Amino acid sequence: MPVAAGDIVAMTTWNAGVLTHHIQPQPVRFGRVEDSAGIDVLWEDGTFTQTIPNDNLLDVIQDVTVANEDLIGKVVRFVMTGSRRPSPAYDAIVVAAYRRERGGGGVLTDDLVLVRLLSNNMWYEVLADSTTLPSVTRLDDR
Amino acid sequence: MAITSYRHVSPHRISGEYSRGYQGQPPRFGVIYATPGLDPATVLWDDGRLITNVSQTMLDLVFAVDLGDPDSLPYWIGKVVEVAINPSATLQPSASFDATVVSIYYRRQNGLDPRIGPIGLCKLLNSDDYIETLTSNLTVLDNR
Repeated sequence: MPVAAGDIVAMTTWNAGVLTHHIQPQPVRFGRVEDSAGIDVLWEDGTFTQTIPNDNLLDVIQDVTVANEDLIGKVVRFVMTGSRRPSPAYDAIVVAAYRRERGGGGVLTDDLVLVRLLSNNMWYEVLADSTTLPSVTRLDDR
Repeated sequence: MAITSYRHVSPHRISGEYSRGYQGQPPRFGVIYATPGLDPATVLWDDGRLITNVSQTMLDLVFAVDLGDPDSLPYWIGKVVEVAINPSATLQPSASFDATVVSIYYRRQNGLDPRIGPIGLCKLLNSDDYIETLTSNLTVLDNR
């Protein structure tokens, strides 16, 4: 299903078929599609971008499962083992939970959470659950 | 590896070397729309702006390090690192340059050789500043 009017979108983080959401020093900017024929997008800072030439430049932001929604507002830690063991400086708070679909094209990814590090306000989009890539786990009593 | 549609790009570094360069602003990334070989290109930047007529020589193709590489992104993400960008061994880096790793990637100007990297994009712990430097200049700090 291509991008449709009313969809929430963000610049795609798909690169050659791979989700590369770590290329993200800036916080994610979301927008809403005003006209899907164009494609015209009103971004959350008020910028209105008209006639985006192809919907593969955008990811449609989808709702998440209830399980991941429960992570919102929680303090989490990156989950990795061995040499990938995370630093406490990466403890973060979950701001949002969602999934991305490239261009609305039916390509769904694992669920993502948008976190902000407690140590230096850095934004990050990570998998809510993964065995091979950075993901997060909730820290109790934080 | 030419710059083609839907690949990620960043403005070409206009000053400094990747071994030493210091940046107040984080790099801006975008996704490109172009027919292969078409130049200039159209770029949708991550802040939502759509910019046309960008010469590809002004852009770096940005691509991720192979996730199967043990020295790749999953190793670096979640680490605090010391950033040793001083050219002289007698000049030790300040602890103020300790940073968290945002991402690991390569750059190719206009999608052509040479391939620069792997580059570690770091954010300093004590200020709102970013630095891009070769991962060979980064040392993971244990217990941080």
